[in-house]
Amino acid sequence: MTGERVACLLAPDFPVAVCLRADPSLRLKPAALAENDFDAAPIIAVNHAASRAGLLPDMTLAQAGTLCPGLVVRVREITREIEESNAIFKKLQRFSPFVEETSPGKFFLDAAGLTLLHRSEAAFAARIIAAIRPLGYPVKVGIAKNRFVAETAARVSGAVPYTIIPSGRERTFLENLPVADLPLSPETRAMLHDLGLKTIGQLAAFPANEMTRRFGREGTALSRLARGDDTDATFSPAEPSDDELSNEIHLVSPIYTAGAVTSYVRQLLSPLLGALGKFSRGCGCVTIMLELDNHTQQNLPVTVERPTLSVSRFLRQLLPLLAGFKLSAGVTGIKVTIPEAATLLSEQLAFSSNEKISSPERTIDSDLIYVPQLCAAILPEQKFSLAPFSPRNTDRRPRTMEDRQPADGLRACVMGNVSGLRLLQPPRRIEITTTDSRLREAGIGRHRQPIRRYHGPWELSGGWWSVDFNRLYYEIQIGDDRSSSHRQLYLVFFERTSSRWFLQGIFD
Amino acid sequence: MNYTELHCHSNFSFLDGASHPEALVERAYQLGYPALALTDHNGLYGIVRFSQAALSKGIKPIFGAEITLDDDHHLLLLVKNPTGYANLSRLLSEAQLKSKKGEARVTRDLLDGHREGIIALSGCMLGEIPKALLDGNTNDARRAAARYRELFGRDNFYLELQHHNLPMHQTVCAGLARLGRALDIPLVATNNAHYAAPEDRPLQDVLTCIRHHTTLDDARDLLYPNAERYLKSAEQMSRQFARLPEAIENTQAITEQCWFMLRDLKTSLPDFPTPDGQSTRACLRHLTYRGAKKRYGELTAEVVNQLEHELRLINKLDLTGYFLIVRDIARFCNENGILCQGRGSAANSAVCYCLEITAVDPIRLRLLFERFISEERSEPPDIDIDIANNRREEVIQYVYNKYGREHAAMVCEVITYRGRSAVRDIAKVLGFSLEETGKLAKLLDHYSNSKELEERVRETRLNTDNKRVRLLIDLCRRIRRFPRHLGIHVGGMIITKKPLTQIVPIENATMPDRSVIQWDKDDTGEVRLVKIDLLGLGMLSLIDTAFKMIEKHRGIRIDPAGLTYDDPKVYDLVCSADTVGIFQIESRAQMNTLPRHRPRCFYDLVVEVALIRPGPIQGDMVHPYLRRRNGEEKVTYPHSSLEPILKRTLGVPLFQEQGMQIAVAAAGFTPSQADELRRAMGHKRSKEKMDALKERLIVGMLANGIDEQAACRIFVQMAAFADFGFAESHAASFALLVYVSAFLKVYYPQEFYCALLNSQPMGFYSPSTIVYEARQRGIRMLGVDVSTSRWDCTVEGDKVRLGFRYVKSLGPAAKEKIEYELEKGPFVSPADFVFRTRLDQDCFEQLALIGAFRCFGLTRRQALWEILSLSRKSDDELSLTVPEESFRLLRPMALGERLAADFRGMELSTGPHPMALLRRRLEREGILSSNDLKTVPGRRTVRVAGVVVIRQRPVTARGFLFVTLEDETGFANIVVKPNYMQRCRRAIVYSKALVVRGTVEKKDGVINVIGCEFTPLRMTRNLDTPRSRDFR
Repeated sequence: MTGERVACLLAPDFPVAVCLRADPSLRLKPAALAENDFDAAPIIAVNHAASRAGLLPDMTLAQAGTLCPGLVVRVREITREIEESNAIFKKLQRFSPFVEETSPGKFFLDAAGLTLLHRSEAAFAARIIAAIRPLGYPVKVGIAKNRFVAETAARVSGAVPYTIIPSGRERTFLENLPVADLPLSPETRAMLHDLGLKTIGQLAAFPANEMTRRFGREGTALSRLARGDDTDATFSPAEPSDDELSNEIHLVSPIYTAGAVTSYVRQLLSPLLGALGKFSRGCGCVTIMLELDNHTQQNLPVTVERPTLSVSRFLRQLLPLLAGFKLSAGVTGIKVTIPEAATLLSEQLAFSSNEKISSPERTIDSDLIYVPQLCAAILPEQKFSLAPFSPRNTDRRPRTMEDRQPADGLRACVMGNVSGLRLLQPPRRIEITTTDSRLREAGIGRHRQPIRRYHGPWELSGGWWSVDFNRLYYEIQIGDDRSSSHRQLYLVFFERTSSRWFLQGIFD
Repeated sequence: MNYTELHCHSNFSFLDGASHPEALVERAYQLGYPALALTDHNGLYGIVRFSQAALSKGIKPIFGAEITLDDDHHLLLLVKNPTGYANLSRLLSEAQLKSKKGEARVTRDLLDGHREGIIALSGCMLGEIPKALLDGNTNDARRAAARYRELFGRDNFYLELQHHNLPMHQTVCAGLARLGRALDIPLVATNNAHYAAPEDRPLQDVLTCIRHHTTLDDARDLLYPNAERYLKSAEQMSRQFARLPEAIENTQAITEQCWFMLRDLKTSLPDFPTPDGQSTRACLRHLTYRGAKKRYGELTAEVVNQLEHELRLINKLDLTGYFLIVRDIARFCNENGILCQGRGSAANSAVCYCLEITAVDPIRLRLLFERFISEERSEPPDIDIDIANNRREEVIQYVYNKYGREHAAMVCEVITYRGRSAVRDIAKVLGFSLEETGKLAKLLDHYSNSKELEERVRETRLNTDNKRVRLLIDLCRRIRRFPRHLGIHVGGMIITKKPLTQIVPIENATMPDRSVIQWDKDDTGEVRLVKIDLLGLGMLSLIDTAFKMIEKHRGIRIDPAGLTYDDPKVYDLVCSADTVGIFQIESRAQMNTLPRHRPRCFYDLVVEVALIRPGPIQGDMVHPYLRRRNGEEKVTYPHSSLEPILKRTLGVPLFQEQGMQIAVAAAGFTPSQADELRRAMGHKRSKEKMDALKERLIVGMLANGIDEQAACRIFVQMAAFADFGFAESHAASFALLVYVSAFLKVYYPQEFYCALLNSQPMGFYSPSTIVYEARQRGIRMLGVDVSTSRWDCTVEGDKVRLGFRYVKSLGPAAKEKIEYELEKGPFVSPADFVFRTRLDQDCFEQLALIGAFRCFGLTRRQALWEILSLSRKSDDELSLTVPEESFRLLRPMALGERLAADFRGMELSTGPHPMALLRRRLEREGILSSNDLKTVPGRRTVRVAGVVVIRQRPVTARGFLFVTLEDETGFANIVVKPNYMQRCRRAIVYSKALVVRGTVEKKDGVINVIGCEFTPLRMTRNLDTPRSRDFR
């Protein structure tokens, strides 16, 4: 971005627009868009009918369900969003050599000198809109001297498809707009209200040094933005450090799907890349650290071919990584880090083909090695997760085991000695024949085999609304009692709610 | 085969038990248990209720507790005999007193010293032995078992087998059985019950989540993995332990060994130290007669007779020590200038009057001593002392110091789940959002039954078909009255001769320097513990504060004993119902009665205090009394023999004592029998007892020539007010305060309002209403000002200045800093205030927004601008000049903005009333002010608007709701009939301000609007209003 004219193209409520485009009938029913369909998933957006029922973004689906009967929930389709965004991105590349996507549905184009090509900025804007319209998204365009004014122009354009702010008219344009149009922190917004400052014009009248003295760096930036003077017009609350940039979020409810993770990564990465762009730097590698609700962490390095400021490019690389990666527990926190740009591409992980991996931690970054661990849950299939491998303390138990005091000291282990148990996830349906409440035959594999001995039943019940379960567990032995090589031990359960038998695990 | 559950938790295990003790007993009864043990965590909180329930069902109660050892292992202790009970109580007390609240731990040494009379069971899976077995440490388990056997003795230690259909339990039971055989330790089966029946398991899960501050979605293995922890039948348990039948048999062996009952507890008061080796009787007699000379001057025969009668009974019931102890507390208060006065039935005693415990002369008022003490009563008398709120702690600490922590403690109050707290906790556990939870808690504050609860939920527009919502309704219903945590009773203190710890466990209260017993006030009566109520009374604080202000500002010293209680100006004020802030007669119902009653003497005030009470209202005595008072109805008596008793109240029985005197005079009861009658008619009525007494009463009246119809009518009236009516002595004590507070309002209004604001919270009205009321009476109210305000409100000439206490963001820490700096000298600039006090930024901002810096010539916004700058400066930057350029750019706040800022920062304003800002609009729409109602003829339909300051729905009002609207001219009284209440509930209950259409009703100077249409009044944007006070 080198010139003094910037065009901003906005596709308002892009995730919703993508969803509606795929299913137009949603306009008529109360519908919500969420990161995933778990009860704890936060709602991203709601349509008018749902809004009338009292639903708001950021509510969880469980909370929404208590308010709105017949609510239709659509899971956000990140892949589709990326595809749609790419389509727009490609179209926009035809109009400018420099196009940037800062967040879903928001693009900036370098518009400097393009009047020669398009005769006027109005014609330029009209052509952009005409090019994007066939994709099915209502878009707005603003053109101005800097990003903030261009974006504001696009946003406030109302019924007009584009708004052009001539250079030198920025302050006049902003003057009567409400201060809420500035990128304010909630505290500053409240303070400006208390001070009776309602319009950007009123704010612009204050000397910059007075603003700085009261609001710190935010005050300086606000002063610049309010006057339309911002050269960059991206607002950053803090200057990035020399070594690395990072941004993190701690989630109230864990998330479980790749889609949801991608969405948060997008939110976290966008401002980082924006900040990096201020220093004319690009980025070729980011590290995404996932904090899991079993108190372990997982790191995912994401690299792109060449340094870029495009969030979408990183997400395109991240999606396949997440798809191949099995999330063993819910994600409760995400941290996105951009290491120092200069060293990013030279320090990627490389294996030496000749080296014998006797001590994996010597060869591979131990952060990348995981071991299965018990975690807190009642049901066996929910008891395991991946935990970081630690060469010094290989039998380290997850922190949950120490921190939590399970009911009646049951620890995490309910079903006997779990170390010798291989679990089937999910449990597989089997047939068991009983006579007079005694277990006789089991249909495991292709043949029905007599049950030699069994222990049990043990009883697990609960679940409330998520997984309602009421199980009677048995440890059964099939095969010859005299020869251990032919002896097979299984963990099976009878689900009382469905009156069905399931194979839960096999003992070593 | 019989089975007794020996390990059972009730909801007194505080969030770790899902059944009331009574429910457990009921289930045990259904299962045919011969006995049941209650073993809550680290306490004996529920044993009194448990014992009563068990004995009523013919089940033997066994007392015990599951204790937590200092290494976090659990151990179950059961009481065999009184020694064991005393040991367990001491053990729990010491553990509780040495630990943080809620984290009691018993050390091995402590256990060693208190093992006699106790049977120990190895405990649940968190017990040392089961845990070691579970971890595969058989040797550790063996060593521990041997150690416990050694400690408790061979016959008093059992290995406890529990099996909840979990594999680990199988492992542990097998291990315990092996250990038992190897070490010759007997086995016993328990089910570690946490609820009565399997259906209670969901509630147990919810309570677990509340305890762990988590939700059901996140609780995972914090919840029990199945629903097996209920009281099982002997058959179920025998089947479970078929291979170890001795484990079941041993439950009976233990049951037989445990024979302690709560009635075995012997309690008495400490010996009061008397001078010169005097006996307590002689000492009490001496002090009584010395006081009598001071009170009465010359002692008449009537006085002497009464004193002798009382002293004889006091001696007979061995209560001399009790009187001396209470007198000593009153003496301490008097000597230290702490306003106090005995209330309740103690004011019926001339001895109490002479000992200066009470302030009312019972002989002059002809009060009945037997209402206070009677021979037949099984409980000790109850002396309640009201103490100025602000100094009550000094008195409590005096008692602690005098008798020691071992012998004195406060009674606890078991805080139970009510509407709001239940909804708040359960909604959180069910995963409702914080915002929704808050909304639900507000809407579901009061509900009487499940249907009403469901209706309230529907009002929230929640989807009642949703599973979570249905669960919320169900669980809220089930958790009601469940103990949540322990609080301190408002003033009940227990003092005992032998260490309290041998009677009931003591623990630290959350408040510093306070310890509480583990029983509430009702439980103490059951074991005959004598309770002295040291109650904080805001009105005494107010009077105390006002007296001091008057002395300081006007140099006048007022002695309440010197008041004549007959000042016409005081009664004029009372008759005009101008009684906001006056003790006991400021409620809407009292205000409506005053113009009709027109009290003109002290005894009228006594009647007024007692008249508007549930008893007289339910007994339909209010209107007959008022009609007779105003000559509209002839004064008659049910029988001529009752005339002397009822003459003072115009033939209408109003006081409890009158009921007793009627029983004596008309039915031939002795005074003690009459007291028994009153108590039988109390709130815990037994139908059988009532029927028997009714028959005796009516037979007695018939024998005295009263016809049956009149006798029945008298009985109905007595029954109505026996419990809910006032004791005459109590009313008389309160009437003294009514007069003094009214006297202050008439003659020293500045000091009165100032003290009233400093005594908040108290009474019916919010500080905002008090400020507006003061202004209407011509008193200038000044806002908070950093250069002149103190922490409390102060009197400045004929004005009242608000104190820092009303600024919302200022807490105790800020109070300390401000007061410390004010001692050094006044603040001279905003910078001086900021740098000297170093408060949080929020505090400075709020002070700026409410205009507290106007003394330095700054508008509110200028002050805020200045504060924002100062808070980023360091001390050495003080010299920076004020930026005039910026000041010019800041618009001063408009009137509405100022009011909004005031309400946001203080919940009150010294500016105009918010309704004044709407007046023009309202006038245009033909909506009247409260003042306009005075000129409107009765029966006219009008519309009136105001801010809702009080909503009242007394239980006696049969569904009527009384709403008080406030505007800039005063109050408007709205009556809402039950059908409108149902129809317009949402608008009436949740609107901050209302427009009401209704019919004006005028009677005896009282104006009411009978509402028929209720519309929320939209206030100016961002303008807040005073918060209403809602009562039931």
